[in-house]
Amino acid sequence: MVAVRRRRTQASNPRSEPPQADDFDSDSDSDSDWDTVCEECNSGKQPAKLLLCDKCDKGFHLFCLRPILVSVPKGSWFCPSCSKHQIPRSFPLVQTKIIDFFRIKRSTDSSQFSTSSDSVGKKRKKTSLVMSKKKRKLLPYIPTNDSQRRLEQMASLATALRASNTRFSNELTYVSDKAPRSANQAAFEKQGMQVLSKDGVETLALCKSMMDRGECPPLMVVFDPYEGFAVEADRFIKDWTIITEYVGDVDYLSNREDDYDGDSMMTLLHASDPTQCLVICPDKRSNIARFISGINNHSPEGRKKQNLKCVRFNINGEARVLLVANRDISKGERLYYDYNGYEHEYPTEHFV
Amino acid sequence: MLELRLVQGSLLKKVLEAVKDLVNDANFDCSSTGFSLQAMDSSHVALVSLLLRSEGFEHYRCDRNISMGMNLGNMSKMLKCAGNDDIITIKADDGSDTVTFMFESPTQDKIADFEMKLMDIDSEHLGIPDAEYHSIVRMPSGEFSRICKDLSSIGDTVVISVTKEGVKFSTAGDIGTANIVLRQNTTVDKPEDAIVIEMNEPVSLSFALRYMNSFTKATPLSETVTISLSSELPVVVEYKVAEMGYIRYYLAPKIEEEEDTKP
Repeated sequence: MVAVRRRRTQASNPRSEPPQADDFDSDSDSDSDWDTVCEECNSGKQPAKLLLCDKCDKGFHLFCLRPILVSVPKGSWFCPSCSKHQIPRSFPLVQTKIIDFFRIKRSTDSSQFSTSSDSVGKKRKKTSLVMSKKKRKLLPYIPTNDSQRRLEQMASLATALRASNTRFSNELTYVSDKAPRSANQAAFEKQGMQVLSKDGVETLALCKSMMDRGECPPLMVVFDPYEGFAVEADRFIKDWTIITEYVGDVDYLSNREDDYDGDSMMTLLHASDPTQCLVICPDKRSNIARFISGINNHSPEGRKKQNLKCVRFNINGEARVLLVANRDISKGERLYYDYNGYEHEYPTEHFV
Repeated sequence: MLELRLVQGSLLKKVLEAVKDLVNDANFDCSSTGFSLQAMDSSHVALVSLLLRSEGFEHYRCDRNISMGMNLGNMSKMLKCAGNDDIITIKADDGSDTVTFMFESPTQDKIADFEMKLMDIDSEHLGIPDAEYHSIVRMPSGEFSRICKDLSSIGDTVVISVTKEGVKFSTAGDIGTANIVLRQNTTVDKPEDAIVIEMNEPVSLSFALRYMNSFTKATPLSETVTISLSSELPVVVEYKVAEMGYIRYYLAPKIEEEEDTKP
């Protein structure tokens, strides 16, 4: 079988030998090449600039094409007719949501229509607007029913903890060389910390007791070559579900300022007095929270990936950090939250 | 005290089949105007709005406006127990946390009643404005259902374009592309088979086919379906329910990614 040399242009290949009589058989294809003319201007002049379509082999001068091509493309090139047959629409279409178009009715019957180019133009609005239900309650997570699967989930967490030389702990720990429990006072928080409602406290207690019984959150720790450890949802998770508490050793921020390894440090208390600021260090003791990935704050796609939010609450006078779903999450979705946001949660009353 | 008696019980059965796959739990609102429901699916991409006017019921008593939260899957299980010719009555007492469905056979010899617990569902209603749509297409519902089914075997997104030539449904996928064009045709024997295209402005929008296929579950309700399109607005797929109301599905379009200024 003769290998056909694909010519990009009519220009003679500088490395090829000049055609010889004995090579006639193998080069029989090249005979017809010399007859190729540009489909646009019908001339075979300037063969070096006569580009051949990689599909139909028709010739086109670089300068006869519209738009004009400056040089012979490095990859494959298809002429205008051949490229039309390829998949017409580029696939990254973004699915908008109904809430981007219709707004919540006021309690009176008059409905408000306020979509205009401003609301539709911005596809990803701040997630706090999306879940516009009044008085949303925090929900406990629903563990996977299958106990075998739960064991697999716990095993994935155990593997990740062992790989990071971390021991498992589901509560904030106060060790002797770091900060004492008495240092964790939500009252120190600059501008105050929101208090978790009674329902929320009960929900959190339920999550903790489920964990004690072996009913862990429906999450799987995976290892990704780019992101390192990451956490995926192992079942559907409803919006406003408490996924887990961010736990670790509580330490003073001032002790940790030289700590470059502490890339999983989480702000626990942001006090007006810098010596009172506390952080959570999950390097020695932690739970699944430390493996959850963060979004890229510098790219516009980053925010779209975010499906969890990191919220701090005053629970019984102490500051605690919870990771809460901020939209419905399907099974298999990777979890992301904003490492850079410590948000205050305001009640979202929506009247247009 | 709520008591609604519907002679053509099969309508309610078909209505539940049409919504239960899209929405799991929703509030049914009863007022003097009628029995209605407005709910979004879990992904908040589609919205269903149902109305059964009070005039369509043989007996309609609704003392005060109430909202009943129901699990539509469970309600559908109960309604499946009603015969197609049965008369269905929905009853609820004030302050009660249950609703009763009563099915009477047309010959009056069999009466069944099913009681279901109500749920507490906290939801807001979205204001849907009366808009002038750029294009409105009315076609046989079976045809629309067939088109959506056929296209979903090729791709997962349908582009609906209305021009003066007609309405075109296109999709593209791994194995290739597909285009289906329908032209206006009013010279048919039965008015339900007509294809009527009202184009005020040409429009072309993309939608996820999986939602369209959920909407076409309402095909048994009506011979015709009305599709209203407007650029920058969700499409409205409407099936009329006998003479007593409608079921409208709103689907948010898929739009182009914003251009990122990347080098």
